[in-house]
Amino acid sequence: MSAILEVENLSKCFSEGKIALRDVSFSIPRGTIAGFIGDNGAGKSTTMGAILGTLTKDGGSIKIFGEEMDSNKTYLKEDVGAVFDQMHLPKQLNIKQLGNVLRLLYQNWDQYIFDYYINFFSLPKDKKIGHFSRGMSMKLSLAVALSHDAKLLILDEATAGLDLSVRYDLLQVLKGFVNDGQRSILLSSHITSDIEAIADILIFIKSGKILLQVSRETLMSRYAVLQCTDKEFEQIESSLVVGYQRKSDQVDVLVCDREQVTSSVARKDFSIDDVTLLLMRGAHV
Amino acid sequence: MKGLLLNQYYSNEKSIKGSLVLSFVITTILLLLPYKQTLRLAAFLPFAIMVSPVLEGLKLEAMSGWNKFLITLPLKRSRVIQSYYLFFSILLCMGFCVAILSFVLADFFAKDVLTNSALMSVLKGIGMTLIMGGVIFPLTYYVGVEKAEKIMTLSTFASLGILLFSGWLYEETIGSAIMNHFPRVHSDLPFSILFLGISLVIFIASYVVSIGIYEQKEF
Repeated sequence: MSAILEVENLSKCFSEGKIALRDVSFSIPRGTIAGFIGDNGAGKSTTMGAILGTLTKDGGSIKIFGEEMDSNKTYLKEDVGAVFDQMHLPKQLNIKQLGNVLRLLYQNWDQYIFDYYINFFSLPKDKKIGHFSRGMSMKLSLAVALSHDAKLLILDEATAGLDLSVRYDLLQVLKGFVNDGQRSILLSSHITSDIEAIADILIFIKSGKILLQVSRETLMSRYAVLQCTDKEFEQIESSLVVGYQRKSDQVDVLVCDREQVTSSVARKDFSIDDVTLLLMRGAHV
Repeated sequence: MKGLLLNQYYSNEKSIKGSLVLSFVITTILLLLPYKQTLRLAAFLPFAIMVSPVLEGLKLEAMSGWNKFLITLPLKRSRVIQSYYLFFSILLCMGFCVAILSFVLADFFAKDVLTNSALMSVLKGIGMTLIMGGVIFPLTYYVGVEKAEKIMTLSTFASLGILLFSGWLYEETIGSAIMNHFPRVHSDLPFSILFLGISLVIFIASYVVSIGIYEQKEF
């Protein structure tokens, strides 16, 4: 599977001197949904901003379809759809007017698909966009992102603050988007159940550094969260330890190959939430 | 470019229509008043009123986040700036049409409105509005729309200041020499054309500066 998005050694420092990204590297193969997981301020939005060009990078490389991303390469932007945590569309317009505008801005704009999603999401065509609820706004943002034949979707907290049924609708649409194996999605969300439901790849980021990129299948089938004593922890080969968190009477350890750890060490059933907590609050080898 | 202009039209449709009516009515009334001083104001107001939706549009775009979304569109950043300056120029042309209509109408009811002096005032009005635009755009991109009111005030004073300063400089330097060479020309015509030229240069320079600022801007 060739990568649709390759980020290598991406770095970003804000003017206040705060280092936002430190050598961030990851890649997203075609036909996959990548869940981007991290606490507030971990660097998810900064990474996405650098990919989309709303922020300038200080170093590193961002390749889309194998080509270095540049704000002047408009043909690359044609293939990238973006949905932010809030709707960023002109609020004075209604959906009909918005369609007229975007038809002139995207070469590959497909009004038929746009109308399809507007109907699918039951959005009113003549109401001013500024009067939409959050759910309607995010549905509209997604409809726009899906209507210009984008090959890569960047979704920054697009499901935050939405009720369950709206989130369900959006997630179903996203699953369908990558079905042909040629398109990919980078999705950040605080709601790990959303990521758990649709992501094929998980990318964990903390303090501007990537801690782990792993397929969901590998994580759930090969990794393990151990609950061990200090003595047991010392006996685990360090190359297996992805992260650990010391608690009062035990150490929780995420290992990358459960088969290589002696079966006498206690293991617990884990979810992506558990792994996230361990990685975000724990230490790393 | 067409999409950006259409968006600006849709976003400002009501205020453009309102500005058209308002500037036409106010200008015509000012021209019909029996005071000479109101002529200068009448020659400036239709332009200032007509371009005012541009600043309002900049505010709306920043508030809605559309300016951030624009960066993700398949457009070069310079295109975005071009669209603003073009939209401003279109509105300025509309202001010119309103001014002409008002002057013709006023001249129909009260004679001696459509005079050479009126034409000179209109040229200065266009020049002042161009300077206002030339100040508003780069400053708004640099300091943000939050200070739009201050920027608007500053641009008005800047245009007035440049008009007065260039008028003084003209009189002190080449004014009398030009009048000696061209005694039959209306005394205010050379300066009005010169001022319009200066305004155009400022407007074009402002466009280049705005692109420079916008290229570096992060959202």
